[in-house]
Amino acid sequence: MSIGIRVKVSYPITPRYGQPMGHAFEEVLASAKKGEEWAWSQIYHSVSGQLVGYLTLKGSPEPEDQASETLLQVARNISSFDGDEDSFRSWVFVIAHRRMIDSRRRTGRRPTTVELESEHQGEVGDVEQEALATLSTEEVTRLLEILTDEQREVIVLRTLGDLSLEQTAEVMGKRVGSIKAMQRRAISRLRKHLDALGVSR
Amino acid sequence: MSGSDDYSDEMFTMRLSDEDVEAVLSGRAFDDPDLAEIARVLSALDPQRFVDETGERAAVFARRAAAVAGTGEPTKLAATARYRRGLSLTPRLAPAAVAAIFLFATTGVAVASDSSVPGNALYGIDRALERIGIGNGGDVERIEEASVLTEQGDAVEALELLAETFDLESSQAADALLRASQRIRENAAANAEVADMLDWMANTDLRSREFGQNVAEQAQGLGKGGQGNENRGQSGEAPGQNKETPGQTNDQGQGSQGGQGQGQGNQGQGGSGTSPGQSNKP
Repeated sequence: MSIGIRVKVSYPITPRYGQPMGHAFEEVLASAKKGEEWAWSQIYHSVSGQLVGYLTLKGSPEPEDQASETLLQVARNISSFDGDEDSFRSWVFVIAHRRMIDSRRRTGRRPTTVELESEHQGEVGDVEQEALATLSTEEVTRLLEILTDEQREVIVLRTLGDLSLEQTAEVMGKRVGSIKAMQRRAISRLRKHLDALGVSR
Repeated sequence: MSGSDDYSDEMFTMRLSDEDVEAVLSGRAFDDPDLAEIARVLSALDPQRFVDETGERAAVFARRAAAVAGTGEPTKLAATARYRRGLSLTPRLAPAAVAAIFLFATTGVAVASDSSVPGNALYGIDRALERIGIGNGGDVERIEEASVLTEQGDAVEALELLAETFDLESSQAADALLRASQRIRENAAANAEVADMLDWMANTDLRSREFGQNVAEQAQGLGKGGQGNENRGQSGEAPGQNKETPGQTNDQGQGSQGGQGQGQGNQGQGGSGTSPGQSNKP
């Protein structure tokens, strides 16, 4: 008789997109391991926006599908996970990162984004010179194409993914020092590019 | 861009502090006014833009996830038959895979400490396997399941599983697994060599066969006094210069015996309760 009540009570918070699970994480994780649907819904709500964004910026042709597949792999392997919410998010991105590598190897294709040799090689689109406050995702994506693939990934993981230096290093399989150097170069390169576009100052 | 612009760029890069870089990436206040436009660009990287507001995907996903939750966890060797059915490992690359698996098993926590990730301490090895072209589709997952076994301290069981898995496609690989597990027991002092090799693996531009050959060649020298690392980075060199090339020296289980023969061999070696990974814990 208490089952119905328990189910209701055990649903810690109303799922909100892009919000950390916070204090509810422990219970969500435990329930997710038991295969409870509400917990997986919670997880999806919490991380899918960042995940889809990451995959989009990584050039995935089908970021939503790939995000779902990534999270299904998380589900399959959830029994082996033990950690806090930060660790969980890192793990999710690790899997996404690896799946992208795997996917590229299978298709033999590079991501849809391009790596430019010169800061000025790309077209200076009119839209880039408009107010940056209203940049669309496509416009930001184009701007970030000025970066190398790894620089772009660092920036996306640090900002959109909201990962720490250490988490980003884990996801990319690199040392923290390398990540620091890459993000520094990325910022410099972006600034130079924006300056060339006439929007920096 | 003019020379003065270049100078300006240089000055900007030089004065860019780590604190400001962290601040602009974290959405916090920063000192350098030149970062303002960058901050505005980065603020557009908003996860809210990528959500499915209808909730349909979340509902579909939650149902599927709840159904498969935990199914990826290896369930001892009872799951071996399932692993076998989907096997499609490329035989010519198998020795390199074995080398990679051996690397993990010999280094265990040492490797994990360098490139570990939450929930999966085998990230470095998995990346290595991906580099050499192993793991299309289910293969990666199968290897990951063995990885989970190893994480749980069951390196011996993981090797048994992998030996059976490889056996259908490559008796050479299965045989090499047996010998690798034996070597692990006899010599667990190859951590530094393995770390060097992993660094090389992470940074080389070599791919597929050349990568696998080089890894195999290096791995053959591991734990034997460091001779195996001498060829690192020489992409064109053929493997097999060392005296023990996987598959050349042992005809055990050539095809027809299948997993059973290999399984028995492994069991013969697998009685030890010692986890190689654990034994190398720093």
